[in-house]
Amino acid sequence: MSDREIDRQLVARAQGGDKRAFELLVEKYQRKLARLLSRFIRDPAEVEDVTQEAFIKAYRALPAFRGDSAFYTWLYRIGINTAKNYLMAMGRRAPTSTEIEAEDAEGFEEGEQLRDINTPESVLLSKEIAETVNATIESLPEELRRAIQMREIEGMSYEDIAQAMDCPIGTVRSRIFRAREAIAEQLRPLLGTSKERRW
Amino acid sequence: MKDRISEFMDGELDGEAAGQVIDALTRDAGAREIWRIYHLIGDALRDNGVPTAWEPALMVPGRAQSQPRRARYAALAASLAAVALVGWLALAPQETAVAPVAQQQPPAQQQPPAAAAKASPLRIPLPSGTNDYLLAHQQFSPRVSLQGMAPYVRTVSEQVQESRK
Amino acid sequence: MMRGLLGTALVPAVGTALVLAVGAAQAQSPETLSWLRKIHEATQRLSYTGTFVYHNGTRSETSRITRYVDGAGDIEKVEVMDGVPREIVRTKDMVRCYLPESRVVKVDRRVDQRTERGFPALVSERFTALARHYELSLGETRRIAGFDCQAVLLSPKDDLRYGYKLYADVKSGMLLRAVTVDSEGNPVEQFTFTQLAIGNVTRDMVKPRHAVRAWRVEHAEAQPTRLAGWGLAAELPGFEKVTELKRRLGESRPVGQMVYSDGLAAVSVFIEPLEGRGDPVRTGLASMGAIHIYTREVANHRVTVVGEAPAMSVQRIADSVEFHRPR
Repeated sequence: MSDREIDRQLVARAQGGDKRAFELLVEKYQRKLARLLSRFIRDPAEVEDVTQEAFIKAYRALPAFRGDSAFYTWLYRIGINTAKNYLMAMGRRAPTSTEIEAEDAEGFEEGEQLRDINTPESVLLSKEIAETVNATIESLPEELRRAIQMREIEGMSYEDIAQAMDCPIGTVRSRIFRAREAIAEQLRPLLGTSKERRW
Repeated sequence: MKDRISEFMDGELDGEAAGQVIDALTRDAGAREIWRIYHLIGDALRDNGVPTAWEPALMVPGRAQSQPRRARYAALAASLAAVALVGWLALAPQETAVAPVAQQQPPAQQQPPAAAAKASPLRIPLPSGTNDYLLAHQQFSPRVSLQGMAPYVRTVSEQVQESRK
Repeated sequence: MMRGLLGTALVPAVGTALVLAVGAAQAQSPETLSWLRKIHEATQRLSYTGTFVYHNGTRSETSRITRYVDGAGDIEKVEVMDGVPREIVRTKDMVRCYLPESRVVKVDRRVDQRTERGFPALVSERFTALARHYELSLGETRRIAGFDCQAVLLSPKDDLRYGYKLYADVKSGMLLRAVTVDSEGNPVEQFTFTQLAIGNVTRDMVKPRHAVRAWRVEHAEAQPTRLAGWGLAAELPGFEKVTELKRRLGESRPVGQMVYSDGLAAVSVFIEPLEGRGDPVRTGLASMGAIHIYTREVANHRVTVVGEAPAMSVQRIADSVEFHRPR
């Protein structure tokens, strides 16, 4: 199953009324979209807001998404348009046209009361997360580190990784999983629900 | 289930097995948390030099409606309690290393071009008794005319207070 | 390269250029001023409960705020949910700060009613004076925490002060977000509501959470007074003295306080006698988001200047504090 197929299935569920399925897509793409928009908008708080708004628009427009393009491509266009509109409303220079699709993926009203989505703002995870991840990665056994880097950074399939590491696919699967869990274990305290006195 | 989520998100599961994982993800908060963390890890690994590596707000369609009000606030507050807004002011020249021991990293110190006229000031830690000064000051801040009491939350860790009574 | 909030060049110095700038500001400012008044009135008129986040670049804190109004007056409570637990309750006459971890409650009687919130005419006059030092304009509208908000922009005319972006609910005037920005437009501090409900507040919602039996009580005992001999060699343009008093800090340290303000930003000058006690004075600048604190020794006193203005302004004020023994 390709990545596009994963998204297609999640979208189908979301279109069928399963809001949680959309939430999974949000979780998958929100940082990627925010990184993209931060090329145009400097203030991190504003990038957050615009990213939020883009996801809200995507959610509302989901019934009209037909799957002609990949979900992220569609989301990306909405994100760019949202950022463009925001910048223009702020009187700032909008990004150049090479970055913006001519086709407008939106077709709904602005300013409607959004009763169906509740959007808590400002959950900002930061350099601390990135540093914890990188520190843990460095401390992993080499075969785990190589496996997860090939998967996440180079985007290789298990089969390709198995070839590169000269091991069975099952071993690749296990190494990637173990690497993720080792890092997750370090991250969980940072993401936990207990209140921590950090300063 | 964790290992299946790991496999599924890499596109290495098909058909019924994949459907089962999606079922679990849409029904179980614990599974969603796994999905969240694993994707966070991937993004952190791929982070390609944007000044701040951070995660924006999580859209939660409909979730807030199913939770009682108090729990919602607690959840929001708790999640914020775990974060530090480091790197947000990558360009701000005037952050000092704050006295509290818990501080994770000294922020960048840069000299703003505007201060060229004056010699750069000597940086010191926040004085002990800072909170008392802040409290005494806030009362006269015109911000209160616009925001009410909100500006009063600007205080520092109590550790700073201890050395002088 | 100094750019104001709207991307237009700031007027760098007082003079004929300022006259033009003031003229331009006045063309826009009646509408903006009425927004500021509306925002102020909301703080007087409305009852509400909400959750807001304070960011200052090194940290992020969530707090709950509640305001209750009835015929007898109003009570406001802020409870900080992160970091050191603390709670601040303001009634008509007093501000009390509860610190459960150290079991201390700090009590401050509200002293100078002229700078306080209960006098709309004087506050309104203060807002008009803002136009001298800030370019006032309206920005975009956007939704924050479910409310349609109007951005009100205050762009400083010099680099002695910060700029502000205020976002107010178009219906009620309630301020949903306040951002303090530096001369390059970067945020140095932000308050933003993540949840707000107007109305439906009962009196028990503003009761302090803590029973303070056996806590230490620190009374500020503030009284307006003339701090004889003390003053500034040169006042910072736009910052006028708005109050002068003596009070206690912490457990019982007597201190003099002078407050200077331009109508929006305020700087306090604290003066404490050394008399051979306490730590030696360490001269220098410390910072906390939009607040800077400069310490130095003058005439055997510790002078601590605390301001919501750029570090350079705080230091300039501190450097100009002087004492001339009264004859």
